[in-house]
Amino acid sequence: MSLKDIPVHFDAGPGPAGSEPTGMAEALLREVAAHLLTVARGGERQIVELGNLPLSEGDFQVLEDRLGRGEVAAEVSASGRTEVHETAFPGVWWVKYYNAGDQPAAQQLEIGTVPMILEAHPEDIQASAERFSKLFEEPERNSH
Amino acid sequence: MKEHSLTLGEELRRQGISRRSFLKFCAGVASSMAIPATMVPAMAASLAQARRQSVIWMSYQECTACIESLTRAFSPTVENLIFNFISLDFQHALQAAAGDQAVEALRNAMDENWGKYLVLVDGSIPLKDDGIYSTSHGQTHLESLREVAEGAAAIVSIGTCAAYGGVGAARPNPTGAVGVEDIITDKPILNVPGCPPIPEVMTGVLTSFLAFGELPAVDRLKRPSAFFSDTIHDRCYRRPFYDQGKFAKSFDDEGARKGWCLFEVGCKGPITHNACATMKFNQGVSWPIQSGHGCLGCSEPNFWDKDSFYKPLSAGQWGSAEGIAIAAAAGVALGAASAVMSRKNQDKISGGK
Repeated sequence: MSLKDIPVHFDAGPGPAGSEPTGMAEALLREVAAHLLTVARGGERQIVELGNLPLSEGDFQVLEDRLGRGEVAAEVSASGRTEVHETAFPGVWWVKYYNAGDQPAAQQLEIGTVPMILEAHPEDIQASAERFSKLFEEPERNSH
Repeated sequence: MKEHSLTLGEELRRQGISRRSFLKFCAGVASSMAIPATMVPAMAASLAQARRQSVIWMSYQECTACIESLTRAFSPTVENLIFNFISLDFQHALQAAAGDQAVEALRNAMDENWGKYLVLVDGSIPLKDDGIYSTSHGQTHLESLREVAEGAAAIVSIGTCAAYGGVGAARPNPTGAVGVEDIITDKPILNVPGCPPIPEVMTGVLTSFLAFGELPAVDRLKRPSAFFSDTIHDRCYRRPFYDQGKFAKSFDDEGARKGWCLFEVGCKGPITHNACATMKFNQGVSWPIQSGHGCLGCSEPNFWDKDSFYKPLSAGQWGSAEGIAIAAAAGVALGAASAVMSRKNQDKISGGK
């Protein structure tokens, strides 16, 4: 016996997962426009956190439709996946963070030349430079 | 104690965790606390230079729900990195040691980190009859708190009981229970109320303590402004229905089934400051209003004694000037604009303090 066998129909109505756009997307687009201008004028990277806003599924659909897809799509594996894609507007990136259990952890629009998560960190580059020389110093140890 | 000598950056590198994980963690915390994104690299760098923080967690007159909330929701999210940043030196419900051994662990942690450890408290503390109504290891919790607080760098009261007395202090308050701030007055105290509190708020508070060396900015009730400056109502996904004047009148009517605003069935969202509306519980699964029940106001002082949970704000004791003003504003189409505005306010508040 499963839940489906119980003859009660639950009508969730237009709840949080509702499909109706609430108008939030329009307001957000204006915020992104202002950030994009800042970055276009040489300003610092800007981030709009989407998880903190009461966006409905409909709002997300509006955002996705209006922003579109650009030239870059990337996936990062560090403490879970991170999906990155450039929107049809260069400089506006959609970044989706997932946790180790592959559940959504955070979702952001990042406005800048390249999202932070894609850049290699100087400390990691330092460690990698130290490790790299071993490639030709002790080739057999690093062959695995 | 050797691990305490490594910086967090060194510790992570030793475990083969790249800085991208670190940055991901900081980006998440920063966005939840409305810390400007431009500060994330500096925050990550500062955190990398910090050392593991000794944390002593004291449980007093409590029900264990705070521990349930905080421990369960940490894993397996990105936030479980926080356990690399702290050394939880005492927590009597979680640690393997018991009795004399546990107390010895507590004394050692206090001695080694005197003046530097962070104390977390959950549960209220009885004052009546010298506090004899709640004891551990032959010591009243009143004595215990005074002793542990003396060597603390700061205290974080977790849950409404430790913050304001909570359920333990509900009428007729037989044990004379109070919150930490009514007993300890000479230490920095931050309250993370809620019944239970939201785990991500603790992650944010601990991270900012480590990265910036101090507790984050707080409101008049000592709650971190980044999470408590907005009301539930400000961020509620049902807010558009409130603005349209569409209300559930009972728990099984058409409005309830359609997910309309719960104001008229007693929702305390308009005067309750907390972050459930966006952070939710159980790794973002749901929260009370999404489950069809009005907000109880559990993160506000004395929420338990403020009249019925099912009376509209405009009719109960909660309906002070603030509640009535909100009731009178019903129907004003603020919706999206107000949510964006409140986000901006939050940036302003966290940046300004």
